[in-house]
Amino acid sequence: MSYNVLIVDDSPSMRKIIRRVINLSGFDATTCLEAGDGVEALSVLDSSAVDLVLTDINMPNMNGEELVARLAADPKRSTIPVLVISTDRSEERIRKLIMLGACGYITKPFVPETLGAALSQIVHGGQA
Amino acid sequence: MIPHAFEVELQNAVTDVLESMCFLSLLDQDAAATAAETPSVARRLDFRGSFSGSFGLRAPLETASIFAGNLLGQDHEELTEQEIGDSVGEIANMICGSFLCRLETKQPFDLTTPVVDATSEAGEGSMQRFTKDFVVEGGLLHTWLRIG
Repeated sequence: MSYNVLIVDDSPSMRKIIRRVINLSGFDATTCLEAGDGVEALSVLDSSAVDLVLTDINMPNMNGEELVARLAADPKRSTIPVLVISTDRSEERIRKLIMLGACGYITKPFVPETLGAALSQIVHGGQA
Repeated sequence: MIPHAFEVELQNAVTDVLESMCFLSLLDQDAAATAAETPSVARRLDFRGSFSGSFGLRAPLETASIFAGNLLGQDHEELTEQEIGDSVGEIANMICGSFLCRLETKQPFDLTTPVVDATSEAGEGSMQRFTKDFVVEGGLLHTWLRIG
């Protein structure tokens, strides 16, 4: 089975890097859609079928925390798993994102194996 | 003089980021003996949390293009200056985040978006300033840190 992935990050370079690492990880992503912030992400979700969201935290307009909370509170979108990718690996931040509704959290830098394992775990119903 | 704990954790952060994201290793060579090259690419960002301050890095253009090419999975000779600069900014972001997490595991921190570093590295006011150079496959990486 292959999946449609939405990558949300305000840095075009980081979106490109994440897309590349997904490819290297062997995870079967049919399409990698992109958004520059939470507002754009919601717009993409309105118009496209997305199986999994990967989001950064610090972004303009709508940050990753708000995006996670908005998706969790929306009955139509609450089943879409969200994986947070951030440089911040503090216990407080991770706990907060998981409480808001994120399925997993991985920190930059990361190797393809780490991202691939997290994605596989999440699409099979687990947490990463 | 950079405190030993900072030096160790900065080196660990640089090693982690360059090896995992750029597939490059630090070389056990004296940075001072490595000739400086110009022009260079420099990016800086500010951080706020248990520690607050700024972090920056600078690399010769050729070295920076190798970092960017490996990071993006593209031929480094085909990259634009914008792509190279953005990639160096992402590397700065990841090194800074990795470094801060090694010093403080419980409290979150915020990082600003990396910007072109056209400033001097002189300390501002009461801020302490440290510098550390690394020899990497492909060239020299100069880093600096200011903590208030």
